[in-house]
Amino acid sequence: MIYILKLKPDRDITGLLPIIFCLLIPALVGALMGPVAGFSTMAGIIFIYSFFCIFAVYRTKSIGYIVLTCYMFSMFLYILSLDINIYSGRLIYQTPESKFFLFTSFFLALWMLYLTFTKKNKWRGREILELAACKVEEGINTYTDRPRPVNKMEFQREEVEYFAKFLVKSLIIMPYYEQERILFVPVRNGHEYPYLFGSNINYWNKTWVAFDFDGNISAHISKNDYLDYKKNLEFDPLCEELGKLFVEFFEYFRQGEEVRIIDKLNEVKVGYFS
Amino acid sequence: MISDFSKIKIFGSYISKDYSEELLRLLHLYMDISASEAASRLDMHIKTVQDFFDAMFDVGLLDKKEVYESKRPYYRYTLKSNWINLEYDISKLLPDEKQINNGDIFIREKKNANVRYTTARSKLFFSTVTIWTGRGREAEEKKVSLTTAQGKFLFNLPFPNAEFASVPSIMKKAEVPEEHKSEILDIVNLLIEYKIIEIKE
Repeated sequence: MIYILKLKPDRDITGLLPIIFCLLIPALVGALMGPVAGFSTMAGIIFIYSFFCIFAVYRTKSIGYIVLTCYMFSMFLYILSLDINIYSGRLIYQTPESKFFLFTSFFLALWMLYLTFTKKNKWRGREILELAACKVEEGINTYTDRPRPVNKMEFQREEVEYFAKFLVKSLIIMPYYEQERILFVPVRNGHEYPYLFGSNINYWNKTWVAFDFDGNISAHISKNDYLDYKKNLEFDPLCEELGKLFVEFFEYFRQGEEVRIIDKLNEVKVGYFS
Repeated sequence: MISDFSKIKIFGSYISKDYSEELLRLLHLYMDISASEAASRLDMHIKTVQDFFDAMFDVGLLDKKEVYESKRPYYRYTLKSNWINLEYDISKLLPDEKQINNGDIFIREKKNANVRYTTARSKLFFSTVTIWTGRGREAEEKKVSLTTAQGKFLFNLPFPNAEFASVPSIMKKAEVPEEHKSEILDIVNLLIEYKIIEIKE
């Protein structure tokens, strides 16, 4: 199926900020205090990042973050094991250890590249919003800040919990567990940091689909996400479609056809980094 | 028997006074008594006693008789009965029949309604609805706490562009029992009044 993209193009650079930060700060320190200080700063920043990555692994159990964490540690050890001599003609000397860590870093970088092209380390919130909107027509003045009841179905609490674990592992949503339900908040690539590292995120005002343990399913779309569509869409069908999409995913999951969920998300042709 | 609500209100406000018990006791003891006699007996102001007796006469608890002696006419009051009977059917306070039948109307949320719904924690219903009326300095906020039945009902209210739905069908969808219909209609009428809910023409 060919989907007409209804969201505005993603020009947000939030996702690139950690990389820019990691390169810019050491470059500045290096320029001011010398190359040894610059490399040390870079090693320090990568070391800090790797701990953030460990936290992301803990939250998601995603293969993408596991590989990224390993890559960060490998890069950190590589920089540490380099022999930097400012008094010789050659600034950087490769030690046997650094050669080993260079190899592991290169291998892990290739693995990350593979995961990027297969979209296994990409947050899929954008695809979710596109899929929800694909059948929805234009409509003016239809937004309301109310959740919409979508469906009622029978399921066990454990099934929803396993479903949530699968979705977060696949970087589709971030789950929020409440006493009587689980909220699935779709996370867009580049917008994941508050969800991963924020301690008190106000998820209630975000876009979500909730499965309560009485079998009720309801959906809510935030004003920000709604305004991110190129045109105003009919809000009632949009919420309904979002809820139905998760019901469809849940049915796939129950039948052991999780791959169909990923296939459906992959059908939406959005960029690797958006 | 007092069965008119306006009379019950008058009776309630006077019977709650500190001196009401003493005055009723005097009325019981005396065949008839004037306000000045009762006031002097209890060391009260005559106007206070006069107001109390008039109020009890208005609600039908006392009889009064105008008497003429060697001075200007005045009233003497007599207790009609030793029993105070209050009886009132609270269902009379419900809106009139026309409003009750609002169950037949088709409704949905109005576009651009100036309202915010607060969802009950961990539940699929609303706990409060906040309505803003007026603009600028004239703006006022009205916050209505909802019962669980009302919260469930409003949670299932059709969106502004959705198909209109009847009150019973929304109640059924929201799994709100029929016995809550009157409170549902109460909130529906309020939200219609504040232009939060629109009715199918």
